[in-house]
Amino acid sequence: MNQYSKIFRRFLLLAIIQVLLLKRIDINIGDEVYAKLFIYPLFVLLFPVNINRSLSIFLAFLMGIILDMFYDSPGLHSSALTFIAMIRRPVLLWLEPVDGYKTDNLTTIQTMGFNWYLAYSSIITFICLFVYFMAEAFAFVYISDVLIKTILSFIISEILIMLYMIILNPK
Amino acid sequence: MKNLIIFLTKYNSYFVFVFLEVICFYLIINYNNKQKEIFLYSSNQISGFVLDNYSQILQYTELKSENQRLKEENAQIIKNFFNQKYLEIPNYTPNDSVMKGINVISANICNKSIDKRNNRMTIDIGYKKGVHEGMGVIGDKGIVGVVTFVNKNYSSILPLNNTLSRTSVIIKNRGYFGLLKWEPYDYTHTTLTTIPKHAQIAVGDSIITSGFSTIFPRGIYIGKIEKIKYSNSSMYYDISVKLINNLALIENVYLIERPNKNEIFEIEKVENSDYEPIQ
Repeated sequence: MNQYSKIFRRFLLLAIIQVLLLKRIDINIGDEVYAKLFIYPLFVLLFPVNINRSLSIFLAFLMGIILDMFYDSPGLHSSALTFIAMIRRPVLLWLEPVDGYKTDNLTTIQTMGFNWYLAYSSIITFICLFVYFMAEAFAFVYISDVLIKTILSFIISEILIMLYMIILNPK
Repeated sequence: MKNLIIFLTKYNSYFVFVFLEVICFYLIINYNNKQKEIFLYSSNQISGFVLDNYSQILQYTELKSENQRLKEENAQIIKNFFNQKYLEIPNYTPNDSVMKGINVISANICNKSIDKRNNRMTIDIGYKKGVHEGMGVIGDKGIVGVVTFVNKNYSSILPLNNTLSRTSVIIKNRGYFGLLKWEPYDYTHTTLTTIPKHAQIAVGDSIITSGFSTIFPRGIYIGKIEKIKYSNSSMYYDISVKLINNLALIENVYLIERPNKNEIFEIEKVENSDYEPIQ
């Protein structure tokens, strides 16, 4: 039960940071290219390793819907979050250390090491941003624009996520 | 059955995932304008091709009655041509610059829906034949809708029976103007709003286009007032209008365009901008 109350508190904290703080920051480069600051991939990144997969997908979808309500963009954030909740398991399997994960373990910098965490969060954040911008553009012809936006936003968001992990140090 | 249940429980997360992503994309397509346009455009390309071929086959079955209607319509057009006026516009002497040079293109409807909240129609010509967005669409009797998306060979129409449809109209011979909206799901009627309660109107009055928008010229017939409701809470009448065109049966339409549309746009852009002259 303690696990779920933690997830719920993190849900609130990340939603508040994203909606009240990061939503107001716009980084424009040129006319069409802009970067967005996303911290909410952390919500999926910080699920316990052994969480029920369907439940994690559903929670991610719920988070996405809440964010979409504030961003006035129904479906965009939720599709990205649902997608990364889905691919989190394969990514974890791919990055699995030799001695495996301890059950009930949170994947944090302290337990897994800085390099491991950087790789893990980078992959998932990048995919999240890519899906988001792809859903926003909604056509493959804009792929170059989408990639530029994704890379710019990824650099800033990744720094933000690592800072969050180092400063707040969730357990 | 047992195997099915094992299969479902084993891969339940995939089903949850697919289900939720479908919801997401449903939301994206329905509530975001840009994505909706892209979706409509690409689905129009595909479905337009299929449905056009399909309706070509179906058209044979309706040739007889369709022929009869076309003959009547032609007769009407020829009559109007000799009377030097476009459609029936009694009591209205057209202003030259407004009425001269109206562009008319004929088209067939190859797909339409009538049972949804936001109905659409697709016609079988596109920018190849000179169609562009914002052209008005009229049937043989009155207006049908507005062209909203155009591609090479097909165009999509926002018809009167769509909740997004807004048409500026006036009540003929009385001069009150209002906005025609549609409420689901009765395609034979629309609702006329913003007619103030002090207005003298009666059941049976004709509704025509006002010409205030850049889409339709003034005086195209739409329908008749069928019911006037008087509610105490609102400042306006609640008027039900019976459409002259039967949107379910209509097959042939004409696209019309006002010649000096861009000039109107230009002058209204100046009006609406924040430009304040120094006096």
